[in-house]
Amino acid sequence: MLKIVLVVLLAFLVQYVFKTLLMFDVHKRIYNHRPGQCRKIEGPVHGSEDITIVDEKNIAFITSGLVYLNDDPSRATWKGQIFLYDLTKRTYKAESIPILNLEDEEGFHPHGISHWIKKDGTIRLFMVVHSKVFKHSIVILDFDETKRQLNHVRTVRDEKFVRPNDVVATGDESFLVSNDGGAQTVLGNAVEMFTGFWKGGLVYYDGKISQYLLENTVANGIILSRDRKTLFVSHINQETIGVFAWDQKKISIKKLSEIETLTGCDNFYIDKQDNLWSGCHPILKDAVGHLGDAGDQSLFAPSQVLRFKFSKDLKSAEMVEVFSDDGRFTSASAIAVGFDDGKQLLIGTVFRDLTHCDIDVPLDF
Amino acid sequence: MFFKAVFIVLFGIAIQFLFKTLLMMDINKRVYNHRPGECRIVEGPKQGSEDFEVIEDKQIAFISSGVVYLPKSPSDVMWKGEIYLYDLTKRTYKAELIPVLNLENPEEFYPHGLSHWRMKDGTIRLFVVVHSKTFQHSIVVLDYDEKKKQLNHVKTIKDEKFVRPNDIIATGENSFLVSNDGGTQTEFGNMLELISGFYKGGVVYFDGKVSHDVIENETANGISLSRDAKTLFVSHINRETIGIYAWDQKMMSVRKISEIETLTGCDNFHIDPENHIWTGCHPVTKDVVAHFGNRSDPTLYGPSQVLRITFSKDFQKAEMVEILADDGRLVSASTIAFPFENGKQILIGTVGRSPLHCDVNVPLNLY
Repeated sequence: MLKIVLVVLLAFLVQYVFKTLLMFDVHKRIYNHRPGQCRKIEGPVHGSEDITIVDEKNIAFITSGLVYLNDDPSRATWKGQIFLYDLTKRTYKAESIPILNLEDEEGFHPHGISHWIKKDGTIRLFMVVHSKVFKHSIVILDFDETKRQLNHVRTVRDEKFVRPNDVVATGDESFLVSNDGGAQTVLGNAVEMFTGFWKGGLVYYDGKISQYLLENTVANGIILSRDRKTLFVSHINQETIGVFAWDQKKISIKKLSEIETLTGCDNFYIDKQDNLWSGCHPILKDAVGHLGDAGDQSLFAPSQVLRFKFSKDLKSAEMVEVFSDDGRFTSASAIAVGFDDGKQLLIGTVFRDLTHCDIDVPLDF
Repeated sequence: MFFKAVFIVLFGIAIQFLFKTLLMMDINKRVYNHRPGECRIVEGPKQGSEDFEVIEDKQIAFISSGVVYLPKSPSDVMWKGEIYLYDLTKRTYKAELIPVLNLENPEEFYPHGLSHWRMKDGTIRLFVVVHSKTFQHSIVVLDYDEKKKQLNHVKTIKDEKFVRPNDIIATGENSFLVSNDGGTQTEFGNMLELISGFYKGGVVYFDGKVSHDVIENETANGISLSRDAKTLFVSHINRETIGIYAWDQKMMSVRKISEIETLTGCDNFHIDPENHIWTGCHPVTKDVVAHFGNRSDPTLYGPSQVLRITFSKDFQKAEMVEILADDGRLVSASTIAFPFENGKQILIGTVGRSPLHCDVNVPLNLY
């Protein structure tokens, strides 16, 4: 009897080790390719983790200076910033724009970002912010186009913003937030990752109250389709993308499908043709090393840009790999934006610079 | 106690063997499609385009089609072995079937690897690895009659050292290097060889009269010589590596320089004028096995990958650029690729399907 128990335990242990090694992407590598000429954008050097595109103005807002699972606040020697990039001019320079009236300027390290256009035309930015000691909030800023500055509107803190990653604006005061886990330390995150008992999820904030939409999962990048009826969620540690029907009036979601990608897709962008673009981490074991020590320039991790075209019923997707790099050029891509009718590409990274590429290859086939 | 210890050791060996086998089958990999530009299928060869041979000054390419490989039974082979000619200057997307005259046994001509040599009088001489329906092997030498656009049989060479020939490199009017990609002659035997890792293939040099083993007990698929004929590149496809050897033709010997890990099953090679290696690879082994097992079934296909590999001066390291990746629906199980028109176009060959002709609109020199 005891022998049987031991054999079962041994079998479980063996398959557990096997699955863990596969999760870390052993036996995988990156083969470099670019869709056209690529250049670095001057400006962000300590990250370009998320990008939100204001189609009406052809501008991009880029978050920079992320702090993540920061066990040692003194290691965060960089500033959190918001950059502005003109998508029409090919200047390859992004402008850092001032943020006025923040409650805690030193504790402003932005992560995910989204925007909403108010009735009067004002661009309102919603962003996930962490402090150096990894406290979380959602900061709302209005963009003053004339003065080219961001004015602080309010900071929202909530116990349900456990470990926020990305945000999707759904109104002047409402938004969806993803929690990519529950642990607040590197060790805690490792335990969560190795056990598979995820404590993240999805939260909807209606302007006053927050409520859970998804629990006990890992949710990284989130975005809504152009018609705002479909929600895409990156289950990054499972290497899948969850597709949900979203009903804002009822504040409810219904799962439609889960697309297996075999790569860790991070943040999302939906283009005008409703293609989903994402920056991915194709080899987790290399990403862990780099992301664990963001300040070390000798560490880097592979980058991958995928463009997804979903079937009508949203049950399957065609994937095109638009860009792939072993990390020496673009390290740990987190977001990708296809614009100019799919002829240009912006690639943002977790802790490094921003890349602007031409796309000279066919994407629809 | 002793038996328990032995059992634990054996159990450990079995587990790591299983793990390595699963990784070898690429269970955690997939292909993400991308193309370097517009691509079109080349009409003509339907049953394969396993190897190409480019004649640069004539801007033509020979294509071997209809390879037979570890056939279960001769009756499974319902296609013909053929040699096609493709004009690289005209973008016709049609390859021309050219006649092969005076073969000893035309019904048993199933070409595999190709190479060519320019004779002193300018004649293009083709060296072809040939299998029969019953998987007998030979090297067939053909001279190309340019005016009549036909291939004339010169001779057929059979040798006991041509155990399971795959690819060939012409080194003279009558001499060549041949790779054996394994030693067994059946699908089952090949599977055993693959799983056990005890390879019986290698590289053989035939000097015009006698053959010599150059590399033994190895798996050797595609082989190619550098432009200066001093460096031999060997695809150790089952280990997903490329072996690099210094080749001395006078001494008929090789010395190993390095082994580059690719983590993909690279098949045949083409060396371009700048000494980049272009190769067609099988990035996901488990998907390609089913396709190879039943070549005629159009619902089965295998992923394709084209890499351009640039070596460091000392051949110890390599940069790899992925030119194309496809899940198999456009181009199935790529085996060979070569660039032309200064790298602006590319032709991709497959084991059992039509070749693909693409424009290349992407930058290739990334570092």
